[in-house]
Amino acid sequence: MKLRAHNPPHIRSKETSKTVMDDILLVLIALYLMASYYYGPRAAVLGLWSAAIAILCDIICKKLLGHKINVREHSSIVTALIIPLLLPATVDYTIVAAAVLFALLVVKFPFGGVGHNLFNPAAGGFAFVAICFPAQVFSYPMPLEKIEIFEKFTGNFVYSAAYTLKAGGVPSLGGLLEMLLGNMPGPMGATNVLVVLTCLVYLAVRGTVRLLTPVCFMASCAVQAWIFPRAPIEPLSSVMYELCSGALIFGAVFMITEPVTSPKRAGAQAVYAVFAGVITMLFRRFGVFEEPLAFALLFCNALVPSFDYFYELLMRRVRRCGIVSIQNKKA
Amino acid sequence: MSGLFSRGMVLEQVKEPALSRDLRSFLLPDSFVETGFDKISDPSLLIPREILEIARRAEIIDERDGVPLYEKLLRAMEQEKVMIVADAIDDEPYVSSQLNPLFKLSQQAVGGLIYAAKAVDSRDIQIAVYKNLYDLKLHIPNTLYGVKIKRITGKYPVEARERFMGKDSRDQNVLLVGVCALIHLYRAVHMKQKQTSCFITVAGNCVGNPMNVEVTCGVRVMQVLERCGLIDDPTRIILGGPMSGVCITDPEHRKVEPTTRAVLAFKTDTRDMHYQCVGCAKCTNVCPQRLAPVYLYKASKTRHVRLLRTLDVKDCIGCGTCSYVCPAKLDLTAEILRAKRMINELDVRQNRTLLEQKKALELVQAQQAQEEAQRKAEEEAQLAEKARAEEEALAAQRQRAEDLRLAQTIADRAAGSLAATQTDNAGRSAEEVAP
Repeated sequence: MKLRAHNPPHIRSKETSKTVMDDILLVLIALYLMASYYYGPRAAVLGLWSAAIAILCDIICKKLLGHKINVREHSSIVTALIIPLLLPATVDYTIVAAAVLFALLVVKFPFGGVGHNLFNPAAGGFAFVAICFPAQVFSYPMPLEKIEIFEKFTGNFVYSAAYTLKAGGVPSLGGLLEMLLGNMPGPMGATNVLVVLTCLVYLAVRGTVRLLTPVCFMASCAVQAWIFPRAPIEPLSSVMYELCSGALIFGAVFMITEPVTSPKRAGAQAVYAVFAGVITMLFRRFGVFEEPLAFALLFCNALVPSFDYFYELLMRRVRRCGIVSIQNKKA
Repeated sequence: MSGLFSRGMVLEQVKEPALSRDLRSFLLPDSFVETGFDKISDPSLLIPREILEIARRAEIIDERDGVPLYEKLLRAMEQEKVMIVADAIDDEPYVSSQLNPLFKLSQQAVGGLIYAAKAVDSRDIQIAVYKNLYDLKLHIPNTLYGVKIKRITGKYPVEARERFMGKDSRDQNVLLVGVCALIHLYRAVHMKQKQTSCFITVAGNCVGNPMNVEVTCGVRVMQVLERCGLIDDPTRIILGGPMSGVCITDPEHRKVEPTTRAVLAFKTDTRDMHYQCVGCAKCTNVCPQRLAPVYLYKASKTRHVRLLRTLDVKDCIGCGTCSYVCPAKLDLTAEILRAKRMINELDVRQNRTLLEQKKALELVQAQQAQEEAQRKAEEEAQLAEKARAEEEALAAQRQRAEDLRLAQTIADRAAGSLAATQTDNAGRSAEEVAP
């Protein structure tokens, strides 16, 4: 009998970092399947290419940092799979590679790797290529059009609904159902609103993601779209167009909920999500880019330590006011 | 919405099959020891003092906190309006060593509760049972021999919750006594028997026959486990509940004590997964004390004393919820408790230095006071000296004035006589001139 001393508690929840990451990987793979349906196998190949670069980069960076390489740690792959879903299916392989490399080599590992990065790597990578290659990143093919895997796309590029809204027009591509199903030009993974929301429900039921942050973010965006519509349309349709265009809901599910760069306490998370919604809608109205979620997110990430600091001070006040009784102590 | 409105967590209560099985006994032959209190034969005639004396002689120890029952009752006697609650909460998984005796030996448990109530002259008695028990084969009634069973709601660390006895206990002193101690009190009164045994749950995935056993104190842990049948080699043996119990490595030598609630044998995968904290803050949103284990852990690793104080590390109750939920499988509870000990030690040391400083200050103040007094005395002496000098000076002045006046008169007189002689002389000279 080999007995070793362990610290209590002696039972642990079955959830581990690996299961959390694998849950997200699973729903991302579902989104790749949807993207492959609309844009052909090129979507899946983009994902595989991105993941391969991320794995290679991860190994090299961990070797350089002197960390142990852990096969159970999949956060870099999650980042790498999120980035292509924000881009059009016709995007160059080099642009995807540039985004992933920027995300890992500049945004993630210089800060100390997993759990230490200040900014969301996926948002950083997307912001980088959006600034450097805006023509490629914001021109979208029509869904269900044939796209060669390795050859340059020769078909017509179309504007997305987000672009039309940015220009002050009313998107005319399809109705509400088409928007929900993602049958409209846009980022290859983010237009399938219904699928993305199903992913959110799955993640919330599994306990991987808390509903609080995405719901507060979407509610904040919806209220602003209701009060200040950008196009001359009904408030309700303005809300629908704002939420379903671009990568807003995708960002709400996969990027704002990222644990490392979001505040820690539930209350701070709610405030942060509402604040991020306000910034996103302001950037949409006054910014240059049609999908400024990544920029808004990077801006809010920089303020997260302050959110945490002030909320922690508040909680200290709550604790010391004796709202929590310290009688009936256990230990 | 955990963290915003609710704290703590729901644990899977793996109490079956041990809970609904019969209570077995594993008593050594010579375990019956008399209390030696046989003044009164009829238990209904006992007065409070005598019940206390019986509890003292029977050496009953409350299994929930290790305090002798006699001391607890004595403390409660001094208070007014005490509600006595028989504690059968058992909120940790696997453990059912209070619930099982409560229902298998309910007559003794309720009898003990009534004697305890009589000892502290209390009318309110209740039995507390945890509510979040879902997998039971046992039906928990609303009353037991006319005593109300209160179902305690709430997530895991039940005992950290404020007012966990409900509204009616707010203006009342609540005395929680473990059910096993009450059973021993009943036995001491009726059978004049000392407490030589304790009730424990033997369970875990290496135990073939999970059950509740009454064991003589002092039996080795390994004997108990073998009695219940080990079906596998355990990798960890725990004394106490799985959330806060201690891991032992020498079951051949370790003995069962009166405060032992359970012996659990597990075979678990204990490989280190090398995960890192990703800051998911599940620990922070589940903490029943509203602490932030995610920051406490980092502050403890870096020995950041000021930050630890700011984050109120001393409020930690060591319930283990943070470690339980952590997806990175970090040893949060152990690390935070270590930091708490460090801060407590620092405080003790600082208090000592403060005391020393105070003493030194008092010494300095005494010295200063002494010096002050000396200086005052000197000043007074100086003042007196000065006054005397002044007086002397005045007297001298007066003397001088007197002298002066005297001299003046003498001089005047002398001048007068001189004038007279001069006139005489003048008259004489005139006379001399006249002829």
